[in-house]
Amino acid sequence: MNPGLTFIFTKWKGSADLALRFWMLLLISFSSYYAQISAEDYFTPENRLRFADHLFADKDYLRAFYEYKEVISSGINDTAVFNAAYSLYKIGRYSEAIDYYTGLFINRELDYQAKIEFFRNLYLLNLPERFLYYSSQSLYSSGIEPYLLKRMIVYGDFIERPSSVDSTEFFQLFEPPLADSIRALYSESRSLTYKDPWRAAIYSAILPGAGKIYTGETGDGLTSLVVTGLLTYIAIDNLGAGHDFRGYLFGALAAYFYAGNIYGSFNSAMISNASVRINLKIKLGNFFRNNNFFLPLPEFPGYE
Amino acid sequence: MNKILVASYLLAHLLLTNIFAGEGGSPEFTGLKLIENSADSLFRNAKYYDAVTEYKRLLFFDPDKKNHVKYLVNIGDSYSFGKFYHKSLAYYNKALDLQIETSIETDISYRIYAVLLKIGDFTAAENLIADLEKKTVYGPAMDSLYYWRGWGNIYQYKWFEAAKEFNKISPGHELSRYCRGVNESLLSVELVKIMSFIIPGSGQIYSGNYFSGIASFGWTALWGYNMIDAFAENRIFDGLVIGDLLFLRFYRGNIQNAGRFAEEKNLNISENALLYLLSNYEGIKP
Repeated sequence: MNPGLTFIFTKWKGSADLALRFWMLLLISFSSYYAQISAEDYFTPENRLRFADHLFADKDYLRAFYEYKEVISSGINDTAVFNAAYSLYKIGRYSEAIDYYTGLFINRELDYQAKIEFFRNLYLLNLPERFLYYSSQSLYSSGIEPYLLKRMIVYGDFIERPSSVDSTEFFQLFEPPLADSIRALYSESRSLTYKDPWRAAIYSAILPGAGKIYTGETGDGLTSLVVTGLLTYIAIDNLGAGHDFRGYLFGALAAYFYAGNIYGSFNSAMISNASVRINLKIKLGNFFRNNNFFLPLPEFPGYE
Repeated sequence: MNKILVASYLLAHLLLTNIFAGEGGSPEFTGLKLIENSADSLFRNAKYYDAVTEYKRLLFFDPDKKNHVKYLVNIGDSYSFGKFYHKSLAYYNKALDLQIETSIETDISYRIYAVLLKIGDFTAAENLIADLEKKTVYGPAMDSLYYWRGWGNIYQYKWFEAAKEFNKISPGHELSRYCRGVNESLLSVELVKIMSFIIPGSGQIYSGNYFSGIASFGWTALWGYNMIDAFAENRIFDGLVIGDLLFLRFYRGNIQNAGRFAEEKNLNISENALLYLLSNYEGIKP
């Protein structure tokens, strides 16, 4: 126990008036409290900022964000705001990141970078209408080279509807070496072959399994041919031998396999087409993401 | 009046000593100690996210490296409790990178071993414990080794081997008895397959899958009868087709099914036994 308090409670029992004791206790308590808080200097904004930067560099973005938030609450610090937003971006909280970036737009040193990051996060929110709207508003897009946003919009369309993109305008937006990769992706999107589901169904109706072979499932196609053929043969053979029940049983099975083979071929073509489209979309999306959505990264160390 | 003077003097003295204790004493120590107490309290109360933040703050601000081992290990434990096993391993390894006593190094190695078991990297776990075995020579340390190797076997559902390891610590060790009990409750996959080989469906019924057992028996009997009937009536092609495509398919499937059911049942027994241990065993566990 504090020696002052010990004295008051033990040695001085019943010898002084209550008021005096009360004031002494109050003052001593206050001084002890003051002594404690004066020692805790690890939570000052400066120390929090240092710690937040350390967490940020260590890629512990969630903790870094909360430390930056504390720094910001004690006074605006543009770098802290920017880093808080960037931390949110890294952990996928794009909507909140956008709010922080917006705060850096007017008359701030990080105006340009904040706008770039604003649009990067806006794109990731997957709201194309909002992206188009904000890219047309000077408050949000002034200072950003127009082609940067334009190519994000066009490439976004390319991912969703590869066939709808005007190649002349599309290629002009990119410079080598990016342009070469874009051209290669564009050519690839044009050279993909899609299967006609009705054609697959008709092929299988004429020759069981042929539709599956047409969609690239050769093993399944041959199995369909063998199973349907065999069941049909057994059915005919049994009917010929006077075993009506077995004949009809195998006949029904043969019909079931025959119908299933037609339906399966139609589906197989649909699945094949969907798979081609999805794989292309994933490939285009990954290219976009791996190239940081064709936007420059912040020009200070620690960003990736 | 004297008392008032004495009181005033004491008051001034106490005020000054208290203030200087704060400002001129050792503020860094006091501040760090407070953070450490807070971190420890958060850790004890299972508030692992906040505990990690405070331990990381200590790692950043505390210049005294000798405290860092504790911070790193507690961060590793916190991540492990939160199921962020790879982060947990990273922090344990950072602790191992510091100059530490052998006993602490061994303790951290067992923590790493436990995490490796949880993520199912049994090869790395085995390699780690083999390294520890090379360094371990005396009794109690060997007991720790047997103990953790026993847990390694439990995680791999090798109950018989686990029982053997625990038995090395002391004959009749409670975990050894438990593992032996689990091992005895497991079905023999081979026996179940042989049963279904002799009487279709019997293996399934033995492993508790009554419906599947009866269905297997019914299908195999039906197609077996049809096949024999076809051969008896001299319809060789019918007999071959029914025999090959239907009878043998169901007969073979019945044996495979019986084996699969037994394996599934064993897996279920093992999973439940491990869950029971993790929830109810009060000793040290991964």
